[in-house]
Amino acid sequence: MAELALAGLSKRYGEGPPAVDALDLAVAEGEFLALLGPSGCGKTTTLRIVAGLVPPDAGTVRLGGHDITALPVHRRDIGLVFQSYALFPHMTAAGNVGFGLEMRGLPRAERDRRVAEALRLVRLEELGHRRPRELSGGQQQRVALARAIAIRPSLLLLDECLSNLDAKLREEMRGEIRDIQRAAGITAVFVTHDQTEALAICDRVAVMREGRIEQIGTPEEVYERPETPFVAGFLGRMNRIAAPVATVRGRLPSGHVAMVRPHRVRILRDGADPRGAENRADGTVRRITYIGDVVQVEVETPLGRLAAEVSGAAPEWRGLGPGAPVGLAWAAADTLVFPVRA
Amino acid sequence: MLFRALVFCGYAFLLAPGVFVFAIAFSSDRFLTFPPPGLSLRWFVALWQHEGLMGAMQRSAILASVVTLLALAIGVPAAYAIARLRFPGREAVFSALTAPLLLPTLVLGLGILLVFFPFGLAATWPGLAIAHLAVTLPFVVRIMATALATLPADLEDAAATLGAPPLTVVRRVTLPLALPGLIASGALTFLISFDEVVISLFIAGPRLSTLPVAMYRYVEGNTDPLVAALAVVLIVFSLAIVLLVERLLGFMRAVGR
Repeated sequence: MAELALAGLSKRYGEGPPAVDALDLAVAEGEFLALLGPSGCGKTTTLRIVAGLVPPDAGTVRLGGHDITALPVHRRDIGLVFQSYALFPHMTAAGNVGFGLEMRGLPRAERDRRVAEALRLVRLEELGHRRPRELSGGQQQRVALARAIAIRPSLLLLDECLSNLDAKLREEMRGEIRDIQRAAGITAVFVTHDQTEALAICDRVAVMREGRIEQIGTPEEVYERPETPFVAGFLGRMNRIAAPVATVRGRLPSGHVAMVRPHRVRILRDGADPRGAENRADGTVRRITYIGDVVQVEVETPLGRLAAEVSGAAPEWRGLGPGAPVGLAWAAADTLVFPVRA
Repeated sequence: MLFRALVFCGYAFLLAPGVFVFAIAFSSDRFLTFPPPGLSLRWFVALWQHEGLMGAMQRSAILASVVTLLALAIGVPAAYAIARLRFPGREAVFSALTAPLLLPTLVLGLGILLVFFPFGLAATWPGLAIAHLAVTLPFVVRIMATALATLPADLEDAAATLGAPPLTVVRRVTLPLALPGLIASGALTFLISFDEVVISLFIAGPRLSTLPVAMYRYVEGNTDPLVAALAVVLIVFSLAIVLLVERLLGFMRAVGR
């Protein structure tokens, strides 16, 4: 249990652009931080540098106040859960979980006790004798997690470790990981490209792009108050409007782009009152996508194609079909404004 | 139907010499006649009592064992470096180590003799061992480089993050998982070294001859079924090794390696 501080971290593979570019990052003790970004943004490289599997070209890694930049992997005391789980196929689940304890020279009895404890934590106490290939994907994932936390690491790293599970299991596991992390009070860094995962389980989210951190904040901050168009576009769906519309600061200045989240856009039927929504756009329905809890309505308007999202139970979308005339409205307060990057 | 007949002929062609050898080995006759006039084990007894051939067999077994150990000790780390590390000249090292596979053994044998002679290595144990290493190392490096390359690097990384120092990672994770490759390349090395004729003919002297060389020389001067009996012993021995390897590898697949 310790805080992690990265300063000026850089890494370049070959001649290409840097994978990690002068990155600074601080993770508080006991905090669960997500490194979120598209593939190739440097998040996995950052994680591997922290774990000691990749040497950085420049910068320092400090854990619990100690500079561990030059410390070899096996002396770092960091638990890492791999995307592939990387379970040892020639050992049982218990053998896998006990490996790190064995390396620490724990006596047999103590080791067995802690292996049992870790397996109980991931609800696999009955399956310790099985080999990895005799376990399901979700169970393998749990063994990998148990193996990483059994050594009681100062820092837990999770590398896209939910992406090989099916949707339902993923949701379940993500809650479990959160609970376990909180119960153990372990500082944790979770690398993912899935924004829902990042928002759902982490205390803070660092959005990465091209080897740098674009924005860092609580899930609500990065979602509701994105600082750059990239963050706005990467987290959740977003409408992009280049034409002048009303914003909190007046009209949209030139050289800027406005954005609004689909779920902030209301659908107006038959000239209904926009009720305080400063922006209006009329158009015709292009497509309606029903996903159960929400319905996405795409509308062709003079401002471009805009999407609105309403609850599946809401009355507004009933009876709408492609080609139907419809009005859209949203508040200036919900309109995000960004300068267009040169 | 025609295809089956062809396959049958193919197998008959391949296996016929073996059948003849087996039949003649149990012959009671003094000459290589087929079919043998009667059955007996006298040639196996004669083989047992033949000091020259038995000594050569012992030498070949020792040599093959030593060559196997050396080939694994050199080839496995080399294969590991080629499969896992990124260093300049990696391709060149791999090519150099596997190149002898491309040369006719006759050329290789002559070349080795020419190099060995000034160093006094011809007709010596170290000379024979080095010559056999030249032909067996390519197999070890090739098999092990493939075996290690298919082993996910994540497994070794995982062991390291759990606190295993590099050599422990190799001992506890890499080698156990590469064991099928180790057994296969070890068995192959042993058999190649044990059977090697051409290069040994160049290197081996009159006092230090391996079994294949001794056999070759024996056949030059004798025409009795003793060599057939020896051939049967060798065939049974090779089959035993191959079956053992099969069983070991199958066993390992069964326990999840």
